[in-house]
Amino acid sequence: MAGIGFELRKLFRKKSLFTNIRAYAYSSLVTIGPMLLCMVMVAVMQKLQSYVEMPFAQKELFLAGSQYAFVFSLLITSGFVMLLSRYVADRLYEKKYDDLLPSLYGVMAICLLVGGIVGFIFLFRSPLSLAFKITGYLLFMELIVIWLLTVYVSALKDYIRIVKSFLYGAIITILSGVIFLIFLGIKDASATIAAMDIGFLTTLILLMTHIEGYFPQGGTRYFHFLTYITKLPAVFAIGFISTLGIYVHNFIYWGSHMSITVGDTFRFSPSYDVPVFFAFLSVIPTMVIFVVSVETSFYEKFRSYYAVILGSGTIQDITRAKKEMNEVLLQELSFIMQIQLFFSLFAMAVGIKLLPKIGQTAEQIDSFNILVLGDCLYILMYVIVLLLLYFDDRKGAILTSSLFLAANIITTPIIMQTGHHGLGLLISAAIAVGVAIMRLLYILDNIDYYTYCAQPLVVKEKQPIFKKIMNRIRL
Amino acid sequence: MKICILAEGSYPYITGGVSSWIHSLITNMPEHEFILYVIGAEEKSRGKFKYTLPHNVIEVRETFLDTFLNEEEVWGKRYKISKSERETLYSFLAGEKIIWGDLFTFLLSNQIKSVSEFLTSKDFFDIMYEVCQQRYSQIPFTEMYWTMRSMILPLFLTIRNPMPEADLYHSVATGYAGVLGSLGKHLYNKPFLLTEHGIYTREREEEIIKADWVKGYFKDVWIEYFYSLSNCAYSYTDQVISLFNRNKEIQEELGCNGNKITIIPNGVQSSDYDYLQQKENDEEISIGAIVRIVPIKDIKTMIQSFAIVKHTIPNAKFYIFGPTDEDEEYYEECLQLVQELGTEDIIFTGSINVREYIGKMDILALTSISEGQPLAVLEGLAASKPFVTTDVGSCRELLYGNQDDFGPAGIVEPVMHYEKLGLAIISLCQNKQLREQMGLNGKRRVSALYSRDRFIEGYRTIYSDYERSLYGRDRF
Repeated sequence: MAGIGFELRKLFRKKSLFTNIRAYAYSSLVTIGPMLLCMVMVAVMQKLQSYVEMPFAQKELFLAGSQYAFVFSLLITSGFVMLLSRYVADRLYEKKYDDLLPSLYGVMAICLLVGGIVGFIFLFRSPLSLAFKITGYLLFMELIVIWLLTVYVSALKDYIRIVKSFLYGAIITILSGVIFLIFLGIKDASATIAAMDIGFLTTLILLMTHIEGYFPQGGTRYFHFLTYITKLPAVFAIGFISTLGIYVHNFIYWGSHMSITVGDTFRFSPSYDVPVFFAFLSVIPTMVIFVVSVETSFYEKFRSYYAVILGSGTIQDITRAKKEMNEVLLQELSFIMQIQLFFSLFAMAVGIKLLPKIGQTAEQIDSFNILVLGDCLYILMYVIVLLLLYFDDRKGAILTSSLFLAANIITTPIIMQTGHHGLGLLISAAIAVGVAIMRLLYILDNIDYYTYCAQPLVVKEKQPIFKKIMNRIRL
Repeated sequence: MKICILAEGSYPYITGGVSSWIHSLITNMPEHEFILYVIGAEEKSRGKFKYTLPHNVIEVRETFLDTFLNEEEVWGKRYKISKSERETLYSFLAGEKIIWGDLFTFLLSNQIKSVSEFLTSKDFFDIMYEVCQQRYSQIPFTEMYWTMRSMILPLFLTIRNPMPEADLYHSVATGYAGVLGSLGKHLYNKPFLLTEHGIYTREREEEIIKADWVKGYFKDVWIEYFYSLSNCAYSYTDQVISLFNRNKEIQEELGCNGNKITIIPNGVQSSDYDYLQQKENDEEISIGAIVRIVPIKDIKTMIQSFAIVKHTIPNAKFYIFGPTDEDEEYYEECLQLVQELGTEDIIFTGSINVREYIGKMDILALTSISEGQPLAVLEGLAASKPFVTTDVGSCRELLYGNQDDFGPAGIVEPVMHYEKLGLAIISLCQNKQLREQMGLNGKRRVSALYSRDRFIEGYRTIYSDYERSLYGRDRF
């Protein structure tokens, strides 16, 4: 997320209302573009299915299959994605470009193997048609690769390329959907999924060609990045835990009496999942603002703080730089909080108006309202976790994200009994965000100590280490 | 009696004045047992002794200032530090007056698991931050931080090394060795004796002023640090032994209580130098220097002054006796200087047995920047050779006498003044009679005032005084 700051700062320097809007538009596009494109893709496919009057069971199966592919591919890659962001940034900093392509192949091998086995076992016992199994399996595997590829393209700060790749993928998906469903008249879930396979394959190839054309071929250190698991186990864990934290309450509902089973394979809890999905859309503003505000104003101060330390700043210079950085950070954070709160309330108002129109019950709308508040707190926590990682406070980041996960696991089943669906998430997020804020304030207070004492005792390469910290956040 | 000798950067790794002084002290005191507690600069010299240790050395403890490279660190530790402990650490870091006993107690307390853990703790950082805020607010903090850490680490590690138990602690320098002597006294309540050959702080000061690895504003910090180490030794010691009067005065200036100081000069066995092999012909004038090739001996000035000599006395030859391996870079620079000057007949002999060569010399020279009471001069005088030296340490006293009737034994010139040094050598080269007269004067002075027996007896008396009080105490 951090890398587009550079381009954004260029946009902001021009300082006009128009460029401001451009910056936010640009930021929205690159941060949530791929996500929105995927949603549009799914929505259009659903429209196509209704147009050709596909049977309800098939439509449901399509939704279930693609949801599972999305969720579990994200889960499988989440730890590696976080870890690789570091690895790739370090390699780029050290100019060891030879290691990049091999590490991509290495991580693909591992994730595809794990995903392949998990997916196989999962589908093996399912009574679904072979065509559905194969197309679904392909989608799952393609998504795994795509999430990994985005790390490398992000490292090149080529965000527009990512958005374009997804855009072309979406277009191809829709075209294939039209061909399969309308021209060939296949009224089957597997046809819809096959269309997505083709679309995502396009995205995958576009991203892959770009990466392979950019980085040098010929390195052989395929699994060198695994050394980072021993070196930075917390980073891997933070990636996995924070992703699991988003979904775990859904999983608990899927396992409860409130679930249904689609095609004897996929368990779901539509009465909970749908409000969860819509509620999560309410955090888009924070995702966009975080990139623009933190990357522009905070990053400047963050950099000058480290520049003062690296240079010959006196203790007064350091204190001043620290104060400025802390002030700007807290200012931006409270700005994000205010905007997010406004949008959350707005989302609730809109939800109450619109959700009944797509057939949501009063109970689901209640859940939606609670979930919007929960997500509001959750996204703040997530932003703070990212900030903690800026300061390399892995301990704090893992503490807060694990706390959120654990609280969810404990509260969700209990709250489910009371019927206040979503309250588990709200409580968990409230606890986690409280701890996160305290931790951030603590780190900001002690930032000098952390900056200095996390360094080795002997001056071996003090400057490269500081510079590495500075570089790392430009992932 | 068990005596713990504390030495720093000398015996038994490096030959030279202080080392041979320690060696002869131990060798001549067979009635006592010695524990050697020696501090070296680098771990790699562990066990590489230049001396065969005498039989009465019962134990050798080696510690090296670069050991911290092996330290594992776990940062982020918090301690329960009391207000007074905090004040002690503060004044230590700030270079104020320190209560060393409190610092020792704190560093050796159980709550500190390792030095690096303490130095990377929040508590230590806070104290350091406060010191910098109040005293060094204009100095770049990052550099100050690294400077302080690298300054403190070896000292704290040295303090935390297990201290051998002995009946008497005898340190041959202030500095780290002096702090260790103080620690021995602090821990076991046994007497602490300090013999200072050169003046440690002055030597460090000169080194630091010239060092290009220390930036301007940190020179003061380093110098102040070494001063405070010396003050630790001066405040703890029961008795200070100085080699000559000028040093005693300097020690008093540095804050040592004058009543503690007595003078025992260095000594040589004059008769050992009675029948040395003399040179066979008079075709050349041989000038010799018994020195290690290190910057503090200012070999470069020596070379430059010889270049002047060579212009007037073409048949002069210059021999530099002494090891070249201690500072090879400096040795290279010297060789380069010789080449640049184009002076012929400068011979670096490397390590040799002094007594085999010294007799063949006509004149001896010493151009050090700093000295205590150089053994090389005593040896040279015992061999009846005239000297040209710089005005350092007790050279003036040795050559001109301290109100005695023996007459001059050489010529003293200002430090680094190669022209004057060269002219002094020339005047000796040109006057054989003067050389012989001065040689004779020197021989007489050394035999009378600087004999090894006098030196050994002096220490024997001191040691036995302590031994008596030790057993006297036991008897009650």
